[in-house]
Amino acid sequence: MISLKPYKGARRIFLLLLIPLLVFCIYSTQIKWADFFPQEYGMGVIKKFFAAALEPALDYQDPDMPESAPPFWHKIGEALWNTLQYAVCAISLSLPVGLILGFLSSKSWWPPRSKSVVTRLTLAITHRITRTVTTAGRSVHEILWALIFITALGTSPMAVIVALSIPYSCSLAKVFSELLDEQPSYAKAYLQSLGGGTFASWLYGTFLISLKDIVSYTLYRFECAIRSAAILGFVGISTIGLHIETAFEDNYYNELWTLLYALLALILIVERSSHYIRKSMTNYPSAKHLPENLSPSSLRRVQPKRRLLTITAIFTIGLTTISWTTGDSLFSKLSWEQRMSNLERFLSEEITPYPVQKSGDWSDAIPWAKQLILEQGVEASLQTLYIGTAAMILAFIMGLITLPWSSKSLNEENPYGIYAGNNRVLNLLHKLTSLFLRALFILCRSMPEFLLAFLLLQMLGPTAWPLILGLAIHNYGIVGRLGGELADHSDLNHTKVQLAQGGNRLQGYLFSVLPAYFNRMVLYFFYRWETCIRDATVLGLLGISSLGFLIDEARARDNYDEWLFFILLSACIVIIGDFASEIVRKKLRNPSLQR
Amino acid sequence: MFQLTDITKSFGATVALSNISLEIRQGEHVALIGPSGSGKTTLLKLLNGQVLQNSGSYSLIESDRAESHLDSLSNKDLRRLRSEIAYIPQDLGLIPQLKVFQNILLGRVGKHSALGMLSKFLIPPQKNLQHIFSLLQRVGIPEKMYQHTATLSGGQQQRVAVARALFQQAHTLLADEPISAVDPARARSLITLLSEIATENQLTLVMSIQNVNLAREFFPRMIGLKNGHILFDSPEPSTEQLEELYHLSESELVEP
Repeated sequence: MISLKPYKGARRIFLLLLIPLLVFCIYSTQIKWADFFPQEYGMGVIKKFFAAALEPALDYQDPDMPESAPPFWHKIGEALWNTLQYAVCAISLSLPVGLILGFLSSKSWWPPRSKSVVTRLTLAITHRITRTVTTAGRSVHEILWALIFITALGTSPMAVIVALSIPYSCSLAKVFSELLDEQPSYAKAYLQSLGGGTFASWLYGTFLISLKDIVSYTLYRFECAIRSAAILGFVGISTIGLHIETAFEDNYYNELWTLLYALLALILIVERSSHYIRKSMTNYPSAKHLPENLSPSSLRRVQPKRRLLTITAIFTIGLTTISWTTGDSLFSKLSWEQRMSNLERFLSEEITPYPVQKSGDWSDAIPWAKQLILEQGVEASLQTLYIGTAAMILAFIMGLITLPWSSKSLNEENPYGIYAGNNRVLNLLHKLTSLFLRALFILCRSMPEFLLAFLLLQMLGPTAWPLILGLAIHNYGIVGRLGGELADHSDLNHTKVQLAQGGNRLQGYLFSVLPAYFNRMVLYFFYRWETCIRDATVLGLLGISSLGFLIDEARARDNYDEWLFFILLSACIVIIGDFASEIVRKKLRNPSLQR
Repeated sequence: MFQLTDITKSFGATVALSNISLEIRQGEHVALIGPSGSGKTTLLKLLNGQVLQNSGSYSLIESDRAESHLDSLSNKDLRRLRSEIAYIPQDLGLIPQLKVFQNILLGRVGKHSALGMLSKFLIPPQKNLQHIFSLLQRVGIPEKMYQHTATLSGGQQQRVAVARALFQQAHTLLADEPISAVDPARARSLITLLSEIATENQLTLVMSIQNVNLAREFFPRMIGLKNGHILFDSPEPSTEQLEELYHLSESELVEP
């Protein structure tokens, strides 16, 4: 007997649960809905802030600027260059490390059914160790790494670059290993059938195919590194974030907008060029006209070239060399002895728990840690969790709602190439909405969440709202783009059928795109949720009660033992988030659920 | 010469080949025919040393070498054995991101170390390029040498796979249903090409094929496989034998 009971959808339940969860998270962060609307003071800031948007400063706003000060544009240029320099140095350091770690934590190159127990054991242990190292490295936010290095070694650009490189190498390693492991194995299997060795078959059959994705992801991380470098200014590094913070504190809103536009321009340039580089990697140019007499050399001369890739390679090498060699600022003036003594003091005294410093007995650390956790830690960790989760749910719901208008293929004149009438006004409307939303996505994801939260905090006042909104806005930009790509780049014959049967665009979205890609979207949800939790741990540095706040406060009190303790606690939260998301994502990837 | 005696191969509970005994001599052209799931691919993979039989013996006798038994080969000898047997899988095994000549260069991956291959790959010797060019001329697409493989049509990609197999300088060419996805005219031209090339180079050619008429026309020996058994092995199978080969019961048609 075939049961005709209506199907109880796990998907519906998931969607419906998001809303009460959002309400619960917002309620638990102890903010009121009313706080969402700015107070009188905030309104004033907002008015002045946005009024200045149209008139970015072209010169110093400070009338008392000494004559000897460098020209205004010089200052902006230097701030931008510093930001770019940190990002380039950090990525150029992270890429080789990430490749090595990624290789070690991938299983794709393992010899098939190795007979020797020693080989198998060595492989398994290396794999475990690198996985643990990369997870640990990623779990601490780059701002916190920077704070640790600065505190331990003294301020030096090199320390900041290394600090940035640690989490970046680890996330590159994680994604690289996933890319390698998920690569279809047909080419590798084929090369093995020709007698190719294990390593050679992996190199040509797996690594070579993944290279495009590896470059593509590295480009994305480079864009992120610029954002990270920018917000490092908020902890005192001389990047553009520092100038943004000062301009805000001095109420120089016009200067602030100049800085914001400059940062945005830099990120947009990088974003757009990566877009074209990616496109040129998947686009194979067709051949030019053939030479009269065919020979290897004559054919070689007319072979299709991808100039953009050549130019990019040369440009990358040039930029990296310049970044590492220019500016004496890269290596600090602190001597090695000075730095080593800093480190020694940091390790031996400052970070040792206070009771242990007194008694010398490490068992005293346990009640100390217990007290810290119970009195502040649990509460702050939960706050962090709520902020991250609320932000992600907001971004996800907004993304789902706007997807039918942001997807290029769905919101086109002829959706998926199917003629949909020739009402000019409507067609123009479709074009405009899709253009507007996609521009909005780029704008949202270009702005660092930390910077967004900082700006919103000045307007909305000190509640958790700015943190949630800042995170949500940035992630909306990302979710929106990922969702749009799903709808655009996939083979959606069923959507075409629905449209051809007389369905409209919204129906095509609701009954074809959404069901087909729901799991993938939930996958993205958890992937970004993990990142949101990680970012939420540092947003508290802006002064809102959560883990970042405790970290900042302990540092202000010079209690480096508590400071490090809370940093480690934040790492634990991130690892737990990672772990939870991994489990869910693994479940979602299960082919039986992919339908 | 390939010599198979009482070979049985199963994957879990599914028996792919059972008690197969056959001999294929150097330079012979053999067609494997039979319905899907009859064991053709497994037999080809076994000949290539990609899968190991559960029981029975498979040995390869080469004129100037000692007889090699698949189950007792060292890793190095296994690689050598494979490097001398060209295998064209159904999906062709081409790397779409690479240029045509690079894919062909990889035909010799079994003859070099990983590093040696890398140097050939990055700076291909003139001699190799000339050789590849002449092979591409032979298969009729010399102008595609420096094109990205992804930009080629299905029929052109098949020719690249044939050129790669030739570049490998093997003594045997195994092809798994090379014509299953092309139109009749292209199918005929590809089979013609493969059998001509095999004859010119004195290669042993073993091909699985669904089209009985083409098999009959081009192959002096046909082996009919059904449910892992050899149903016939003859130059000219009778109509009854072919009917039995393709006669499927009702349940087999719905659930293979």
